Amino acid sequence: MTDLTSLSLTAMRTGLDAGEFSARDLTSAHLERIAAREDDLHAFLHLDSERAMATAGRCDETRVPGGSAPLSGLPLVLKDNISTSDMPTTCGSRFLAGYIPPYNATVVRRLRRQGAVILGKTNMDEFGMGSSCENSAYGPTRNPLDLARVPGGSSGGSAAAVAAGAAGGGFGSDTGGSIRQPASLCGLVGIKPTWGRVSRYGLVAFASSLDQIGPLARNVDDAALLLSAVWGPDEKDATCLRTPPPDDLDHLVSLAGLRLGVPRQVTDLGVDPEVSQRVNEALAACAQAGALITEIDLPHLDLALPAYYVIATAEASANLARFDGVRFGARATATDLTALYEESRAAGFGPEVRRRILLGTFGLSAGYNEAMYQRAQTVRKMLRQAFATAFAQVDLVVTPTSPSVAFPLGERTSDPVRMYASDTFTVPVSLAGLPALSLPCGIADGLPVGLQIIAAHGADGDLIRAGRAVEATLAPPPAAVR
Amino acid sequence: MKEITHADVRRIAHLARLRLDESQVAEISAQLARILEAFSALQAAELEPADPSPDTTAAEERRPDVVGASLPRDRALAAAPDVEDGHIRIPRVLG
Repeated sequence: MTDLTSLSLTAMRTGLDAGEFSARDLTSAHLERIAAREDDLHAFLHLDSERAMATAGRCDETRVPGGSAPLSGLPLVLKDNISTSDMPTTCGSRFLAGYIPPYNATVVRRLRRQGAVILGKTNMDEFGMGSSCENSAYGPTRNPLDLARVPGGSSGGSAAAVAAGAAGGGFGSDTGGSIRQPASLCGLVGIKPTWGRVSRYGLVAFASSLDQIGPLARNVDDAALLLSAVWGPDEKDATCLRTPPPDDLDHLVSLAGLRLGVPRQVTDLGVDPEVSQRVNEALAACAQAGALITEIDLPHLDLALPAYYVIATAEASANLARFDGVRFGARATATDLTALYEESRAAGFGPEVRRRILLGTFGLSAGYNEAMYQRAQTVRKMLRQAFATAFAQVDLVVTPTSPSVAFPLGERTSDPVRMYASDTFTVPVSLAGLPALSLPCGIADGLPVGLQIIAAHGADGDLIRAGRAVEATLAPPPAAVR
Repeated sequence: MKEITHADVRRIAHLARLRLDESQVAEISAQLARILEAFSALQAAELEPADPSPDTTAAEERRPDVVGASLPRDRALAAAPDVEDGHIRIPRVLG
């Protein structure tokens, strides 16, 4: 019998609809895979086996041949910062150990309504703050392609689970690259939609003007299936776009005549030579298929990283003020209220979260606000304008997703600046609020390289269609090491 | 921009309601100094005159303001660390 854990979500859907296997078969195959791999990977913070099997059972009982909801019976995972009222939501933080939210995120409600089988909650850098999944209070996740290396972050648990066949697909959140970078490091497809495309209701906030939920999957079709199941307006999130999401994702496009822009500034920003080479080979393959590759000017790209870290940490310093030991989470013993706040927060937050809260507070504080936060906001506007100018000349912008392949565990934990540099190519897109995806484009040093494709604001449909065309042009991604 | 001092770090730690011991103050001061140095391009860059409009996506239409059900009290309090008679208990605030 086929190894059910090796199938794409679209193949699972076809097999379920044709009655070749049941949702119970699928779920138990994935639970077995989890049992076999989890000791090595540590991708999960909470495993929900019983409810997953019960959901799968209900999908089997109510199955309408060919007429089931698109996600019915498909085994998925959720990053642990997406609120679930029936599972803990810890955000990888000791502060929220055992915390069960009083409501479901809109994304979870939509998934449950469609009969998706949620296997569990996945590991992450604490509150999304990290690029390697090593900043989890519950220990790091390892890359299934090489256990000595990181899976990327912060959605590293979801990425590792999908790459290891422990789930058919998953959801993460992306503030400065937290879906795209782990997708790149694990050989997956990850999409960060246009900011506002997916409801953030129930996503524990890190930096609200940047946070966005999106899918991690084995190919573009699977990622599109997951994304289109959850996106669209939501009255519970006032920042969610009211414009309806694209509905013609299956429309096939050819690369012939598609204008791909490559920013000339990329080479100045420190990309590993082999990564550069794979990206150039991918571009050559696209050109061979008829795409028009143009070098473009994307000024201020070098300022994106500092601007991002100033803005994201400023927002985090405000958002994380809610973790004060009063209404939820860990409370320290103290005799007065200020001490209660200070002690609870000191005990609950890990070093990177403390560092970012302090950096953000500094950037907003009197005397530094203008030099830090205001300048960063100006850079953000300049970048947005630079992208708008680029999209007047080209259809899509292409860069490496990450400057390097998956790096060894521990290599960057003591050097925050080096860790932050992992986000060089993903943060400009986040600051501009644009949709982007990462897809595998070859192997360097035995590990996958990701190609980042960026589209204009709101053009998530164009992004997915073009992504599929690029994917079809490039060699298939490597199979995960079992 | 002037260098970040231990006093700066103590001040922002207080603003952020985050207790640090002296060894953490020293460690964080050094780390923040290194981060700010790495980000010095932000201070050095010639920036274009800022567009004064607020940096948000265009205001979208708002939904009607209709009163709906709110979170039941027991569920809102379920995760609170210290609850008494349907209220959250905190240390005494007034003398």
